[in-house]
Amino acid sequence: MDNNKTEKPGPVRQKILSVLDELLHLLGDGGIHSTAELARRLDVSEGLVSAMAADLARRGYLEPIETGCGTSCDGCGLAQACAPASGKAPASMLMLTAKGRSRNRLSE
Amino acid sequence: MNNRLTVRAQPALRLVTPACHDDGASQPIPAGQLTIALAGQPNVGKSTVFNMLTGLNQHVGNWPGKTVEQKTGTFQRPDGAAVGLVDLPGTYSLTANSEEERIARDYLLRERPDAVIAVVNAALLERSLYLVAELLTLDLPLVVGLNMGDVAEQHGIHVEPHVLAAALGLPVIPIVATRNQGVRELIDAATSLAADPARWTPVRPSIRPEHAPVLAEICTLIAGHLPPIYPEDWAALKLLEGDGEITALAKTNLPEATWDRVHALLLQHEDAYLNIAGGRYEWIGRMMRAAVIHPKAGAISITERVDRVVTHPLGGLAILLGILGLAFSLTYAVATPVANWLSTTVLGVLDNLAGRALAGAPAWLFGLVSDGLIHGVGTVFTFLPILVIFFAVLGVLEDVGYLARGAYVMDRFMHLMGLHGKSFLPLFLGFGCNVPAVLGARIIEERRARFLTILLAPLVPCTARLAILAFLAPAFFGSRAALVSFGLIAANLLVLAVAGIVVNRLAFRGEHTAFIMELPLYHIPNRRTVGLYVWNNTREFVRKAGSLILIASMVVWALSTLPGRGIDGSFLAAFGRRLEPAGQLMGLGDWRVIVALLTSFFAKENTIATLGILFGAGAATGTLAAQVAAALTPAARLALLLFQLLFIPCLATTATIKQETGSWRWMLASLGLLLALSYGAGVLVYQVGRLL
Repeated sequence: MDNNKTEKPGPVRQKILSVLDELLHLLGDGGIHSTAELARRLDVSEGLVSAMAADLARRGYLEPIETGCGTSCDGCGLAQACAPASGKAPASMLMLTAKGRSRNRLSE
Repeated sequence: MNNRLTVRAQPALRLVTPACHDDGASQPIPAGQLTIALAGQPNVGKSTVFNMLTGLNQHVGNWPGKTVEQKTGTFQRPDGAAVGLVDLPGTYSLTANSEEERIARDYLLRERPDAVIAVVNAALLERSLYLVAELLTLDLPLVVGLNMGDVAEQHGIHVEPHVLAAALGLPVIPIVATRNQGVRELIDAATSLAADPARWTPVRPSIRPEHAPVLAEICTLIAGHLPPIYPEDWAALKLLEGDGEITALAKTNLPEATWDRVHALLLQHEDAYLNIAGGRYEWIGRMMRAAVIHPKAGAISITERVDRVVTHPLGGLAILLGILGLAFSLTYAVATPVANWLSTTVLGVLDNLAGRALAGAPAWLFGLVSDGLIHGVGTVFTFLPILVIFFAVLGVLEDVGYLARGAYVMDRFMHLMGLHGKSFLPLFLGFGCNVPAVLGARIIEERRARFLTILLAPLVPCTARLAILAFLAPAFFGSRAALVSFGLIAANLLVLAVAGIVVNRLAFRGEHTAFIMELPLYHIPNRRTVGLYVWNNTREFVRKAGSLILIASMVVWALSTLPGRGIDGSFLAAFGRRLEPAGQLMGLGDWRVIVALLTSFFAKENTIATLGILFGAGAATGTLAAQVAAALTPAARLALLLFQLLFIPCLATTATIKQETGSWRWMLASLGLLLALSYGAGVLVYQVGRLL
């Protein structure tokens, strides 16, 4: 990101955040954010957001979440019966962890 | 940061090449021969480049002491000089996260090859460039081989090699490894760079100013203490990044007092990684903006354009509701006539056939076959057309890539009502079946919050409940069936949302959990994928109808026959009549309807099977749904449908609730809550409806 951009009028940010901190910061409001939306807001490509998110997950700021039955259905006799959900995740998802949240509070 | 390192004297003999499948002993490369290492992420075409250059002159063995394959070889230049080539294991970075990364990093540090070729994937350049950023910190002459440009073009991504070279400050050679294009130019660029490394000045990622002093301090503290193969500024950077291997190395090699100081500094700057890696990503972002062009056409921009509408907070919600309405309209237009034909004509024919075949058999056997099998389980089979349409719609939506968008849009909508975060995702899964919804609550670590989410899960209308709605609504409400179904689902979701707000306040104390979702690219649905989806789900439904629903139907039939005084004098009738006063408040004073609703506990579809058994035993005129409709007032029909949507979950879900909470109390609390909610809603709808 070009960090030398002139900030819009308003409260002046004490410290300009690194792009990884900015990513965590954008998640601060909660809810689901798509990689496309985050890419637009950070002015980077969607692939870079995915790469950064994977990196943050390796470092414990985010954690991948298992959706659907996933492996939790292994050995479950009902796994077949809950076929309509097909145990498949609608998309790959990562969740902000307590570490990620506390970093956010620190950088504010 | 200044990463320029002191160039060490090259050792006279370098140990790189174990012989083909030898015992791991290394084979010396003659002094004076150039050595070039090939680095890159897995599947980037690195090994293809290696094979093109070395041909048969290669050795395959293992890295000393490791199980990872090592490939080394030689390449003859036109002037006759041999160049040693080492194919490093495929890695995304050099952070020592994996054995491969440790091997690649150790090799580069210990052997310091004359040049490194980084093979990058033009279609996934962001991912490839991280490794380039890390290679640059090692201060080795680096050449970039830009592979898979053809794949990138297919995805609508165009990379300008000259611009990338200027931005990186490194030679960038476009190659098509599989067709041996550009490979010779690549090795020539590497050998000439090895001969004169000063010709290029790489543009390295920078470290943020706030961390420069601490980096300098660590660098001073560790100076002279680490083995000489580790460049000190590189080791200091790795320490600040929290690299486990280098930290352990520093702990062993530094004097205790020095280590204590370094350790204190590292603790103070625990999150420095975000800034250091962040600096690398910013650098990648700059490279991408400089050298990558995304043309207007192509799959990516189509997805972007569609998503602008489909994931819009309001437009997206309208589309989601439109799809739901369309699915019901399609079901009523296509599936209902087929279901009706199956239920009247086909079941009638089967009934006649059974009558003729069992003419001489005892009356109870005919009763079992006609009432229990044909009108019970048989009626459940008339569901099939409705389910096939449901499964087809779900299958198409999933294959197109819409389902993920649906979740995304719904989350935003629920955000407005305060219901979001960790409890949302399990609930979204509940639309298929409540069992994975209950299991999905595992993502919530806090016990109380997890249990409360499990409590909510059965309020999500599953496919079976929706199918019962779709089965009964046309006979109940005629042409307004789609509208009424839509309204009932909306009412169901409203109940869920209100309950969700309460849970959110109680369990999560309004805490906002955030998710990142990678939405898949849209694509045209594949007939085979959708067909398989429909087939698998239909097969599972048939299996369930042939086992659990069949057994429950047999029990219901037996209880409706015994002790042999006709259906009105049966045990089931006696039981059902006791509940009639309670049912009366919802307009459901007919014991047959009450019993049918109760049998949904085995499997939701049993409601229909039981209605088939109990109504089918009387005069069979018209479809089953029409017979049930005739027995109820319009307000009672509405109450019945809402009650069944909100009623206690099926046995499978209840068992899962017990398993996941490990508590009978929670399971009973869940059943009690849903019973109270469904009964309350049913009474309210009937009493208000009666006044209108």
